Amino acid sequence: MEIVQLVVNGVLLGGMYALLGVGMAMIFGIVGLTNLAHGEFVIVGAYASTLLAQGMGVDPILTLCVTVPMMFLIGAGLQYALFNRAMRRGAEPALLVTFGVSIILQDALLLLFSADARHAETAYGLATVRIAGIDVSALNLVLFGISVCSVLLLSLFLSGTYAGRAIRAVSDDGRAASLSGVNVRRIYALAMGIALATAAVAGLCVGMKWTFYPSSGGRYLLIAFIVVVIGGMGSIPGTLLAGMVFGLAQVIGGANYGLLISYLLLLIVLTFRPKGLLGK
Amino acid sequence: MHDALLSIEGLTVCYGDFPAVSSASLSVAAEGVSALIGANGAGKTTLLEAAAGLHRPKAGKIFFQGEDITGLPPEEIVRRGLCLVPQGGRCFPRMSVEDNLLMGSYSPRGRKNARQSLERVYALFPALMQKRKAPAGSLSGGQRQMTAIGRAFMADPKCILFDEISLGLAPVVIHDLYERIQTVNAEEKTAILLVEQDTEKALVLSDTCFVMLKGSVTLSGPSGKLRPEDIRSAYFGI
Amino acid sequence: MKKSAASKDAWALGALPSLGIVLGIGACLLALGLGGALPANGMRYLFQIFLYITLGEAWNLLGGYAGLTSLGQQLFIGLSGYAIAVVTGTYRLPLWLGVLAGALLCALGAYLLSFVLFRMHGMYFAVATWVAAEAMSMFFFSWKYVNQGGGMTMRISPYPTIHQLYPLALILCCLALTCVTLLLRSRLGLSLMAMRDDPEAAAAAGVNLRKSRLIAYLASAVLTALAGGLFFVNQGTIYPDSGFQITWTVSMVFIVIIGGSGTVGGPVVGAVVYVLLREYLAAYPGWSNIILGAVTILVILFLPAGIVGTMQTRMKFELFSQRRHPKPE
Repeated sequence: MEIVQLVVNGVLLGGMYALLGVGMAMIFGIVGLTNLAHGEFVIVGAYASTLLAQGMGVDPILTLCVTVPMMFLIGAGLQYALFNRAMRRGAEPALLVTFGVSIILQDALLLLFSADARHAETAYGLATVRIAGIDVSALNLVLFGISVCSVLLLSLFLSGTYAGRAIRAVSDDGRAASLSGVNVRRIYALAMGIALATAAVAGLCVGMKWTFYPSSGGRYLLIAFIVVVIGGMGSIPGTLLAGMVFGLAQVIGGANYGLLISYLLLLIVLTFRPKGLLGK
Repeated sequence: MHDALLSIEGLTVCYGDFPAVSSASLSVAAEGVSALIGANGAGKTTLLEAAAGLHRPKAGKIFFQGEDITGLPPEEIVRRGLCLVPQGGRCFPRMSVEDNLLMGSYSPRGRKNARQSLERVYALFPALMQKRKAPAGSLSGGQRQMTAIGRAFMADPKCILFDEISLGLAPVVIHDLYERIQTVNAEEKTAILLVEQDTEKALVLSDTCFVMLKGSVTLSGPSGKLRPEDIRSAYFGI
Repeated sequence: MKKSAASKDAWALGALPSLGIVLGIGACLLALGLGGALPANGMRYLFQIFLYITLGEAWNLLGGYAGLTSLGQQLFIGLSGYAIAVVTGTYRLPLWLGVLAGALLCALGAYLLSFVLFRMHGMYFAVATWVAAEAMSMFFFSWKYVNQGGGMTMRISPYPTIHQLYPLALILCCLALTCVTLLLRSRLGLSLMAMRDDPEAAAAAGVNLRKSRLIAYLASAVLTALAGGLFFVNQGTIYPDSGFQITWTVSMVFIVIIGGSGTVGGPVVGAVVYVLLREYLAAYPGWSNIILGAVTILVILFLPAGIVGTMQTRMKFELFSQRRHPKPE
């Protein structure tokens, strides 16, 4: 029974990890940019949700109506104003620009909100549900639902709309896409906007599940990166699977060694598959 | 000159300091098939790519339907109804054939009648119908070219530029592809400008022919009336 | 054979004027320091500048020349700092042994890591270096031998004052500049830059990618270790947070980008700007990384060659030229 419990917890956690990874995978696979600020964007989302929910006295999930569009606009704006320009200088300068954005955000959060730990409280935060003889935390179920729904929504968007197809086309062959009438820079901005929208949702989940600080971004960046490396770019089922695998590894490793084990796991995977498990 | 559908006037395109195309001029009529021939490195591909907006010309003008499109980005040129099928087809390998085709109708003019266009493409290339769910990367060379041609067709263009679609394909497949292109030209009233290595084939296929040498258009005229010795001297510069 | 040896000498000789200037300035600063002509405060600034020049040169060797953007150089700083703390604190051995142990440990660590890291490129390399440093930090946090998160104190008696540390930092800085200049003027520099610009072409031309990268990575690790070690000797205590923090790499990136990536003079200018700017920003707590980050981004966008790189193209003058032949008149 204990093993089943462990697996259930790992899978539920994995849904969140997949959501953390999917935004990073999109930017890496489509825009060709390694966004080292992704973790900070998640934390920005966490602050926005937590503070809004506290300020308005509503359930944190409702704040998504505000944070998702807000983060989408920030992402698209940043891509237009900053990252598109930086990418013209090459891959390494662009990487360092996102690094710059990450340290700016980290200190800006510290200035604005102090170093205090934050957490988004909910009425069902400590409740458990008994399903088929297993105790499952209600919060974990809710977060899993939000995460998986977001990832599936994104998947539907990418496969079923013109904009989604254009995003995939640009990631396959930017030049051919522009010959089909796609404005590649606009698609980059759209992709970055969507990636940050997923970061907003991931931020909400992080805020509801754990406590966070202005400096927590690095840890979520690394989680996102691990998911990308294991799951490969541009494959949503791969990302979901990678999230679950990583979630299981975390649950098995426990609170103390979970992260350390996953870092080592990442290095080992990269040693044998330098471009990720599913990379070419 | 401006009653032509596409007219290129004194176009010069440089890679760094090297002029790949130098003051080339040609004009494509609103109907019929035009062919552009020339030796390797004569600047045919660069000329087509410049017309599609992939290169910014150093000098010269490009007019399409009487409007100046010089220096416009590729997506804007597609929107006006001028499409390029690039060398090798350049499909989106990880996307399905159908998604590849639908990408062709991305610009507003194609999007209106996307469903009908899709049906017509499938009627034109039944092989694609069978493979519609397969990723384009898994197709044979000929099928990939079909997908690329279909994709251009989906944009509901006034004019399609083909860059050596026969490259690397078997003669039977090439024959088949050109037959379909002529069908499109006849039924849809879409003007065609194609670059072809095989001079004889180009002359047979086309109504008008242009010869390029070292970046300039050295000869042009109705395909049936050009004299072989003129073509030879325009082609080789002797 | 003979010809190549002769031309090798010529390359090395070509570096002499620049190195002469550096060593001359170094000797003057050393004399000033030892003669007591510098106020202690000025010495502290210069001490920091020397160490940051060393760190910048070490990062530049990887990022600017070898095309290996590392975000995990703090690994070597932390390791070296802890090595000194363990040798002097736990075993009560002399400082020089600690510094030596730190440098050797880092060289060994870099050698072992190279088997993992050199299989990766671009962003994978960057993030993997960062992950390695983070993993090490977490390990030190839970390692009893180094007092877990509680940190360690250096025990050196008599404890070196800034008057003793200043010349050490100065010598290290001159050593770093000399090393980097000579390394880059050797065949290695040529192969590194060829590799940065086109790895496949370089390999096709017979460059041993692994060996060239390894030399650069080892040199960078050892220089970083020495500078980091001296820094923590001056500090007195080390924690996993302070030793392995990403801020170290932030400062290196800033210094190299501001000064000019891929120039030897760049980190010198960058380090001076960095130390002075940080000192100035200390009056505005919390803003320093915001300003540093913003300046880095602006420089990347609008002055991609950095201060020194831009000056070199504008004034057609190169400090520490890597050119192997005299410029035609």
